[in-house]
Amino acid sequence: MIQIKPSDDHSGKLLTNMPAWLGDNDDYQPVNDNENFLSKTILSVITKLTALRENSTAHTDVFFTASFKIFLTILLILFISLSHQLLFLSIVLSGFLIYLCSLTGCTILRILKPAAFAALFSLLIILPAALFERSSFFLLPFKVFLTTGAVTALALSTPFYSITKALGGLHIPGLFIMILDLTVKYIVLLGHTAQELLTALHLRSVGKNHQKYQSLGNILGMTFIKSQEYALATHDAMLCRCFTGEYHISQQHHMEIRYIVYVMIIIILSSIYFFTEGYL
Amino acid sequence: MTALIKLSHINYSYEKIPALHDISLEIKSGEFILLTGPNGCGKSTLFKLLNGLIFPSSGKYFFDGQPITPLSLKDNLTAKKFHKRIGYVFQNPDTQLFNPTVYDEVAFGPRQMAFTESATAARVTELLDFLKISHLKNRAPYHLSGGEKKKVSIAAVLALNPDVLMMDEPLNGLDEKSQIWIKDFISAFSAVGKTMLITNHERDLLNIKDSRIIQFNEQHQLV
Repeated sequence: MIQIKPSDDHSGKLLTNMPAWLGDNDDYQPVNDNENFLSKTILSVITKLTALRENSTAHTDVFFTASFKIFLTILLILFISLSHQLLFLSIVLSGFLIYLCSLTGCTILRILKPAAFAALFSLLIILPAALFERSSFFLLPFKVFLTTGAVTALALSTPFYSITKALGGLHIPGLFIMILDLTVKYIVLLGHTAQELLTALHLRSVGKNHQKYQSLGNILGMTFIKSQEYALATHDAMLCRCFTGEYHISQQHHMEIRYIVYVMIIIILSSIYFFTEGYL
Repeated sequence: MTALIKLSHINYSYEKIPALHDISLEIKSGEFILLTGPNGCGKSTLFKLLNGLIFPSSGKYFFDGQPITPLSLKDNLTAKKFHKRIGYVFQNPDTQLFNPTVYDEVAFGPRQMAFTESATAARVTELLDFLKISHLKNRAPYHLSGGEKKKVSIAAVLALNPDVLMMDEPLNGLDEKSQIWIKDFISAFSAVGKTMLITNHERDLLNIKDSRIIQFNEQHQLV
């Protein structure tokens, strides 16, 4: 380890060149300024980053793989969208509620909030339809609630890296998955950069800022420049590691007993759908 | 002399992972403090707490006799006065510089403090001369070298003339010449009687005369 010793001559020179006011304390009285916008922006960035960090450490089911969860969610959305029967939707709701019972209160809230909001929004949109069709107009909000709930439950119970890896098993092109992976990574990295810059702005905002939006614009600009630098550096790093435009995701499939359970769940769900719709 | 900064039994956790454990500390005005310890021991977390960016889950923090709490900093004027008195130089200058030119970066503080444009120019010029970066004044901060960015971020913070200067790992990522400059600057600045807090992994690297060394251990406690 190199020992960095202060050079006494230079240190002394610096001291003599130091502005005199740096040795005094300012008698500064700040003026009031509204900084709600800045505080809300910082809070919003932190909330999004926390959600992403929580997702990366999300509890993953040992029994149900990400591939199965994605497949089941897509199948559920398909059946829910095609179904005209309240009975099928009620059975799905029952299953959904049983699943929710196995989660913590906080997770349940995070699943139900967007689902309820989306259902309420769709209800408002189709409210005029109630004048003409009273018997089945509520099916749409019901379907919206179930599909949004299913997707939120998938997102909260499966880390992004597991989802993108599982997409490989569903024969999604590797390049698409790579872009998705890089996007998630840079959202986190640039989010941290933006958060730090906003914090720096907050700490130095000790008076009245007449150009609040310009300062925020500068931060956006800096974040954009950083994203460009990251992109160029990643491109160079990939080229150095022999990247030729192909992105392979290793998929190893071994027949396991749990796959029988997966098949049974899918058969039961499909049977319920076809039975309630009158195809069986 | 009463303590300028007083921490009493501070605990802080990041989502149940402890970052600071039972920290009690008193820092008097004009003291030079060197905080050392391994990576992830809580040095940067302590700096965030001292700057009022995070608040302890238990324990009390007083700055110049005033309690620093979410409620006290909710008052706009108290928060501004508090932030004016503490200058914080981030570990990574890239995330501290957000203005289009070096001049604007250093002028940001004086303009905030309602200085006239001529008074702002005088303060900025003096600082740029002092830090020997006058030739960079019209350059964009993101195009500078690591050592130059560090000097600009120091100038930007000094422009507020804080009572306390905190520098997080100031030697990180700098070449030897820049490291020597930073060390000279710290020696010179501590000589004018301002309170300084510096973090560094290695205690010997920044062991300046009359400094008080505070060591963190891996259990996030002060030794």
